Amino acid sequence: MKRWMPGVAGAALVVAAWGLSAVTPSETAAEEPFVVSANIGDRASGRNISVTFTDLRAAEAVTNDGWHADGSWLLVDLEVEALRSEEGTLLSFATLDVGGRSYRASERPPESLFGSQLAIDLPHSGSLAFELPATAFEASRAQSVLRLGLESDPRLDSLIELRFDLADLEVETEAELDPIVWVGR
Amino acid sequence: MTGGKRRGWWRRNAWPLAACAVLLPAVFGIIGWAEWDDYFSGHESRPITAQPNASIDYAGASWGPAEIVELPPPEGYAPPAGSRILEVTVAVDPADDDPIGCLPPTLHEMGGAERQWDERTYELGEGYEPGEWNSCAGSGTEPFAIVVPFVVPDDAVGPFALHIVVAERVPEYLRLPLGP
Repeated sequence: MKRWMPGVAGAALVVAAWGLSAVTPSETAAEEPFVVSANIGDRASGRNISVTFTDLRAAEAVTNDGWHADGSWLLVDLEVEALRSEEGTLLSFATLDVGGRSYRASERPPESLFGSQLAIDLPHSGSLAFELPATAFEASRAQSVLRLGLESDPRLDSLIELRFDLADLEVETEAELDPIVWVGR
Repeated sequence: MTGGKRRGWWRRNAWPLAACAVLLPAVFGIIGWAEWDDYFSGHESRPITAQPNASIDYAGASWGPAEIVELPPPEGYAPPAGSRILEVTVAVDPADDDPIGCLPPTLHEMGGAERQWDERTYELGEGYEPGEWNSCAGSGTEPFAIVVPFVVPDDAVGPFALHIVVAERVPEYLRLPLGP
């Protein structure tokens, strides 16, 4: 064996170990959600949920079934249905990540799709409402990610994801949540 | 190292190598089997299947026969376009003197997409005349019937089966085939 070989072999092993640690997935990678990217107007389907985002609206006040609230609101209009099973099939996960913060859909409107029971292959239409700080609509920090899923713990299940820019939305004085109705096919 | 020495090493270690060839797969097989068995024994995985239009014993009671009918939409309820309402009735006779406990049954598509539906008694509103029981909770020890409605899309044409779970009998569950 050449005298320089142990040194080269040792260095090669160190590089290999570094490479291995660099490509090893994190501990949480094994339980990440399965993200399905969506676009406005297109149907995006996961394991047991299918979503069609139909519109995004920003408003300084929202109304819903006689209820009214001022503030900075994002309304997400969508159609949503289950695909395989109705057991425990609620739209329980709805978050908006914007400006490094994560907001959950508001439970304040009396009739929003948040937490609603889904039916198999029979879509409902309606709205989700997110109550945000006024700064959320500033252009510099308005890159947003909306994620919808069935479990409040979204790990190891499908998440429908929509990426958009809050600054692209025109802020209306007042907007109304869409009523929850069946959508005919 | 020469070819002769290499063959000698394999020959000397033939028995340990053979043992490894048997034991390594066996270890992974046993661990895997134990993990899956643990998973399946905590979930509804072993169906007790009745003959169509017949009754069957499960969890200390006699279940069935089960009947499925299509209902017209009840007054005041606008069903989704492209859907229909199916109502399933199951006769239950608690053979023991102990009352039985079961969750509301679920409707399953046998074959195809194997979709499964929850019962919708409350969603159908006041125009729907529910049966006395939509589960076994509080049903006592006398014979009774479970009546559960489901709202299914038109393309769900069956055949269907009703699944009933008595929690303490999991992983066993009852499967009652419905209709033709």
